[in-house]
Amino acid sequence: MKLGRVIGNLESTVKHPCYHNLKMMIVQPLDANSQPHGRTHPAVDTVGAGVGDLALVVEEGKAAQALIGHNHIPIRTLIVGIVDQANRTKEKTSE
Amino acid sequence: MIVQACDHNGTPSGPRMIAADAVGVGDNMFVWYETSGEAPLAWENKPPVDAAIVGIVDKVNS
Repeated sequence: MKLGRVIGNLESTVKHPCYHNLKMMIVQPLDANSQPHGRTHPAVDTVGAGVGDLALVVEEGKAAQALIGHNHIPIRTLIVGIVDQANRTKEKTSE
Repeated sequence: MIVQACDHNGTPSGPRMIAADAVGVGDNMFVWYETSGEAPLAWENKPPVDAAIVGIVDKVNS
């Protein structure tokens, strides 16, 4: 699982039938310091995430199949949680 | 189809790849695709593809 920031949503009319009635959001992946890291990507939202939310993202087809309830769907990336707070132990510095 | 990976603004970022089209796209369309093990699942007969175009983006709100 990864952390990402929800930065928008995606509108689509023509899509694979498995995406019908699913909400697609745009996610900016974050690094361990909560800084943007890597390319933004679409993700299926299963929890009602909104723009600005910190999201827990899975990138695994089997997880998608289990959550959506079908095993023959070309979906890999899902938002499965909204993070209230991420606490990280501070790194030791040389000073 | 040949697909150029890009961010949500359409700015090219990352590789170009060959992807099979599952929805009926045309040149220069903004699409999303799935890769690896999920790509064959876009079709009933699970063809041996490693990238599948599965949607056409009308609009990104961000």
